[in-house]
Amino acid sequence: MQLRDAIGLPLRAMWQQKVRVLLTTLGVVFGAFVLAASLSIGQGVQDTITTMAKRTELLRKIQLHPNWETVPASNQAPAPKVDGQMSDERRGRLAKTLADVKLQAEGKKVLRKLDPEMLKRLAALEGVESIIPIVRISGDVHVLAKSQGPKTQGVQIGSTNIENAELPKRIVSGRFFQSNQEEGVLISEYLLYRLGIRDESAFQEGLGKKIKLEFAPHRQSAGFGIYFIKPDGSGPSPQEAQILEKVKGQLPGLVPKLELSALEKLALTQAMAKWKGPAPAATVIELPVVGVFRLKTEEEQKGPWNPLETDSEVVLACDAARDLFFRLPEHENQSLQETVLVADRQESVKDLLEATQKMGLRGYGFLEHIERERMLYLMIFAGMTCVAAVAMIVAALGITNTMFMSVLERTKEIGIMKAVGASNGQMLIMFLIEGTLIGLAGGLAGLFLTWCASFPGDAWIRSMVFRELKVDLKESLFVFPIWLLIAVPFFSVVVTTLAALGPARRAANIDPVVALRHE
Amino acid sequence: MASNPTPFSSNPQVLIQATRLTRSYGTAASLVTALDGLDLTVHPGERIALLGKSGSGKSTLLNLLGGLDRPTAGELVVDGMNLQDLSSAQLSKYRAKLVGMVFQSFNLLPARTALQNVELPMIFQGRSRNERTEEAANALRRVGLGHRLNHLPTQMSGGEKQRVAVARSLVNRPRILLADEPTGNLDTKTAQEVMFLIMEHIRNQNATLILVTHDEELARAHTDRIVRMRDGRIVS
Repeated sequence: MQLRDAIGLPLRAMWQQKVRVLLTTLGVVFGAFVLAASLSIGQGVQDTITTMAKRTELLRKIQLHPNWETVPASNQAPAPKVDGQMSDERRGRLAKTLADVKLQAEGKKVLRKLDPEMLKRLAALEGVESIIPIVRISGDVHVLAKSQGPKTQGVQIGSTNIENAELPKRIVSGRFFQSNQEEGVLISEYLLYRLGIRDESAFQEGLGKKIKLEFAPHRQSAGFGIYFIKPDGSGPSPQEAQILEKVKGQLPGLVPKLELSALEKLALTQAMAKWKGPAPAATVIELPVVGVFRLKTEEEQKGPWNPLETDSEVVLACDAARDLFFRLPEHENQSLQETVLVADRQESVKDLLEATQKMGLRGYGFLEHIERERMLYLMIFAGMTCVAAVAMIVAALGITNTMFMSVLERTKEIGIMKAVGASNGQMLIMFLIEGTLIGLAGGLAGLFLTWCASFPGDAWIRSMVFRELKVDLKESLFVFPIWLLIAVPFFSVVVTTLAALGPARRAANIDPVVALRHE
Repeated sequence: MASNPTPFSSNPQVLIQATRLTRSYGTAASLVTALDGLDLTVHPGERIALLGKSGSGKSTLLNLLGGLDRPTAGELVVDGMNLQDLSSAQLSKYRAKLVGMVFQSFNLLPARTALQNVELPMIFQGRSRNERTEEAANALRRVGLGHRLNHLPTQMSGGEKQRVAVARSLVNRPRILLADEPTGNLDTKTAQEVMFLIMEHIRNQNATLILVTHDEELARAHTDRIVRMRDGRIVS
């Protein structure tokens, strides 16, 4: 039998039962639609995450933090040997556990700091494009021109780098930094307002003029503190805190009356001793105002997260901010709390993460986060794909049932065909092809429906994402790669052909003599 | 016309040899023996009629000869082939190439046109579309239905349907034509026309005819030998 006839005969038979075939195929169409949609969106989301991450270069960034590491003390004895008869593998595991326990108990904690030396070592690592220090300092600010003018205390001073695309959009006067080393400040218009510079013209006049930044070291007023936590989890109210302060002041005098040994009373008295000596001098720095920026609007706050953005009211260029941070006496031997390492390419990130971990730092690669996000969405869409597969299988059961009925109704027809020379194999092929054709038609129709649904679907998702997250999605969330265009109809065909196998075998095995007598 | 069971033929070769042919149905508890150790020899070109009452085994014998069924016991050799030894695929080829069958109830596919019904055996033989369309059209013209190529069986009379069935059975030029009561559902005039067509092919192709009928007159008119059957055996 020629291929044309092998397809033509089943097609003709299906045409004779149009309605039944159509209803059967609809089940396949639905299954294929859900399958195609879940695969399409699943792939689209993965691609969008990757593209957006690449656009913001997040995939090449590693967030680094200082880290407390436990190292063996200089006089620490070696870990005890493992006793007993056991396999080498178990002995090795127990030896490691004993060593870890001993280290935790007797080792000393060392802070691996993000200090200038560490920053140099990081910059020297292979695969590093740049190091962006993230600086946050609290200080007092006042305008130099008005020496008697208002001074704003406790202003958060932050840093930025020149690749920051977000802050330049908020500049209302002046300009953004031209290099990461530029010695100048960007200042918020609201801070200027608090500092007494309120007129529009004054903003312009203020550009280029210097402001004073004062940094005074913090010190405790006493060697201890008193606090409590209420049953509801809250701390003391301001009034209660005042009472506690009074108690704290009286406690040193009450120590002799406590039921403690003489040594204990001495230790407690020394611990409570107030800091004596003159207050350390504040560090004052004068820097010109380079630009004035507005604070973020509510909508801008909804934008995509960027680790290099800052909410501070005074902003310095990152390298200048780093130098300032370490110049302050109270930050001697201190550490930056955060630094962003930018790899030269995505492939270097994994090695750099390992290298920074070996240096004792705590690192977090956005690539890892993106991979986790991808995995999460992959699992969600894998679940949807399973649902689609189940829908397809249910449709296949319908096909099997329908085709068994069809074989029964066409028993005489099958007998006639066998009487004129059709073999069992040819009958099998014809009925299998019926199943295949249903799967092919259903799969292609489902794919087409998904494509049609992608237009309104994309539009709706884009508007929702922009409304909620202020992210302008340029990419389509429905994608149709070649593998999907092949996989969906292929899967449909496989499922429906398998569904037709039972009925096809029955048709093939029909006794022609019995079939010819069938009414 | 002689009606003895002895083979008549000027051709000494044997086309069909049935030896102790048996076909039973059912279980041991309720066994039905349709053919009971039947012996039959048919030479090429012979025209044989199988006569007998209902249940005598005529149609069963025809089904065995047509390769639609397999004997329970005994041997059936056709054109040198032992039909029991053929696989189901080989039997299908045997049915397609060597044998043509005409049935009492026509057995046409109701949703196919006359042309498509006649093409059917050629489809399963793997012949090309153009070739078989031409052959089928010619076959229908030969039976006088050149003007009914694209009509469905439901649009034809009984005689026309049987003529389509005859055309279908002859389109592959079979060497053996098996006709099971081909005129059973036809009026006298139509029956004569159909038999005329069948006999014309037999003569032209020097084919062998095995005709099952209740009609002794028909048998005498168109066959060389009448084989009478009763209870699954040849009685004369």
